[in-house]
Amino acid sequence: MVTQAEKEYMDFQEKVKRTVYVYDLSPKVTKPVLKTAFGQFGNVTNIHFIPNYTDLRNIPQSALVEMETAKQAECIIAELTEYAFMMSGMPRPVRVSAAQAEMFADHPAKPGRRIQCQWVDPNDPDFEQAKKLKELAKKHRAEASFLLQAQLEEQENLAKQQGETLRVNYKKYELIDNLISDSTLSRIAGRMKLRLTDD
Amino acid sequence: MVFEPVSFSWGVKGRRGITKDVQFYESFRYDGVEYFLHDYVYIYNDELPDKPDIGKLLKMWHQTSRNVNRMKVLWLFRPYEIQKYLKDCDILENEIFLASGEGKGVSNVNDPEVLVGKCNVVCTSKDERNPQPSAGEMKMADYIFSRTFDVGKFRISDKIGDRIAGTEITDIFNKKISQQLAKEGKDENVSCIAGPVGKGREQTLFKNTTGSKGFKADNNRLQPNSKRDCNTLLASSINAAKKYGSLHDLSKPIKANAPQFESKSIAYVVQKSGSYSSNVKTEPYGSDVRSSEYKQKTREEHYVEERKKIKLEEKTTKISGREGVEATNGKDINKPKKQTDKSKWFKTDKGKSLNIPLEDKLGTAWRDETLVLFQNLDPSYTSEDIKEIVWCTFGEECTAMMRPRDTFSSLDNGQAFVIFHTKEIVEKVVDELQRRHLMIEDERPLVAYKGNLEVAAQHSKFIGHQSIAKVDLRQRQRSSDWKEAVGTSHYPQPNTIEYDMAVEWCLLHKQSDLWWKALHEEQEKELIELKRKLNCTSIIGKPDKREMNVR
Repeated sequence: MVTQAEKEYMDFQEKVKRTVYVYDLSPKVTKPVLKTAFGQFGNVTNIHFIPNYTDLRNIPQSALVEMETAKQAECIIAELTEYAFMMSGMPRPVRVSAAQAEMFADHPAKPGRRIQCQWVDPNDPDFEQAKKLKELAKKHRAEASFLLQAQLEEQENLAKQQGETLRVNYKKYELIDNLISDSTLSRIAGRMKLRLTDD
Repeated sequence: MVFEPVSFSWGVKGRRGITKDVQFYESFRYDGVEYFLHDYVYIYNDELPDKPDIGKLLKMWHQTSRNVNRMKVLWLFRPYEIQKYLKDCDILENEIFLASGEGKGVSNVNDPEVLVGKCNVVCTSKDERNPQPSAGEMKMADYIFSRTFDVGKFRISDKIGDRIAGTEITDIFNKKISQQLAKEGKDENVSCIAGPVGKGREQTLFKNTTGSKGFKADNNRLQPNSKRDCNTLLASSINAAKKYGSLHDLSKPIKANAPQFESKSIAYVVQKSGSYSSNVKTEPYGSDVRSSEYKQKTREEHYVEERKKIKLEEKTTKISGREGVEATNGKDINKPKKQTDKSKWFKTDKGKSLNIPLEDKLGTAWRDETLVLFQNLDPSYTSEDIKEIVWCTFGEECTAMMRPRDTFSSLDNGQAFVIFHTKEIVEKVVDELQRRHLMIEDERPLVAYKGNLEVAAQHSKFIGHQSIAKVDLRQRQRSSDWKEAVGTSHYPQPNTIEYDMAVEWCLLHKQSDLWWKALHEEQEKELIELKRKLNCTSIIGKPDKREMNVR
């Protein structure tokens, strides 16, 4: 027999399957923007921005977008992983992945789970082991945070470099534009005996 | 007789807590009134003593080490408490709102001493999971609710979620009638003291035992009977209540109550006088009523009998002086004042909750240094689980929230923010976790840091979206579609510079995926390695392992 909690948990799992986790979102992205964007692929039933719990405001956002069917969600994930897709700005594309239960702040507990916990005192034979585990956890956390930092640096470098490219490109176009507008181009063409128009 | 300590005793035992220290219960008797799990109660409100807060009992337990009794209360808001957010909704005259959502103000843990009495609340939600109340129940109800107030989002909603404050919604809705009657049947000889009048039919009253089979078969026969019973009872009790009211001067707090509720149904008056009568009763009478003679009498008779007793008692107290009467009647109201600090504590707690969103609360907690960051948790834990763990191990109240998992966290990386009441508790907790280890599930020692939102942030400014200032400006002046074009979600076209840049980003994404994967694999290997070593002197299977059943 299926209990209430189990049923609830199954419903929740089904919801997770229907949901797309989208991240690297510009702070400018709002619910309507997401709704329109994902609406192209199917019916959006719910959007939940994951709060960042910090004082910072101008940081990448992430959101959980619930679609009508699991198929639509899969389709979006495949599509947006394959092709770059931009939202509220460019050229940095948004990223998507399948949602996971733990991403939902209000995820229900697994039915029937029991949590056990226990103090380990310094005179306990397991104290050293516990300590090692703890240190390993800390080390892993530090590693992850280091990698995240490195990744951010990479991203920053790329962004800076792209900014530079864009600036140079723009300058080039501006130069050409000016040449056309102040009729320098036609004078040069006249002197070189070149035809500018395609006629 | 005035200041003698109020009687308190535990009733039916429930499950054990995570440690041997905590024992949950399904009922208790306080000041002669038997309270059961999921009952609605009035709770002393020290700002407005004549408008006690209304709550629902979700859990109750005794902690041996500190010798304290505790109960977890889910709040129901009176309209005036949330009027700021009501805007122009229509409110029924006795409507209240169930707290829901995440954040402060959904529930609190309190000492039973703040209890004022029982309250009869009926859920009128049309939700299909909610057994609809009968007309009789509606008449009896002090309050009704069908809508919720989300304390996080400050919104009124008529949808009710699956869980509130970690409790199944089915425990929050009305009880099914068959359950009620079955339970009642078994309980009849046990506890009717709390409901001399209208409460005889209160659905939350009889529930500490599971239904007896023999009784269930009688349901059909019993139901109409008890309904008629109920009506005659109501009529007689109204009379009695009137008599009672005219005969005896009710104490001040009650009077102050009266004008506010004048417009309310008669049932309310009955209910009120009923509950007061039970308050007025002294212990010997209480035990009388509980006796099995009740079974042989109809409710009516029983009621009249009890009234007589009360009158008798009232008279005796009158002889002993008016002061005595007032003191007895006011006993409930006065008593919690001894606990002023506590009542205040939960009140401000609740008050605050209505204004502060979660993120701001974290910010405040960080500045007040009451924030702790827990790491190395199983990410599948819920915020309620964390609260329970903290409560069971440190014996401290806290506000906990699981940090939702993000892209780059591995499975071993569950984090939670925990806010304590004071800086001292934070010091104590962090210090204790440094001196010794708290193993959760035999494999995860809890790691705690004094909260630092910057550590938590780990993200910098959003970067990677380019724009050319001059173009932007020019376009804005022309108010063309430019801005919209940027704003619209799109795929880049292959012949643009945008496309090239997007591809560069994709490349970086693929790279970063690879390095995260490598890191997580490496870490997992290390962890497995270490655990294999540990298994030599396994922690698993220790005799003194403490368990808790979170749900």
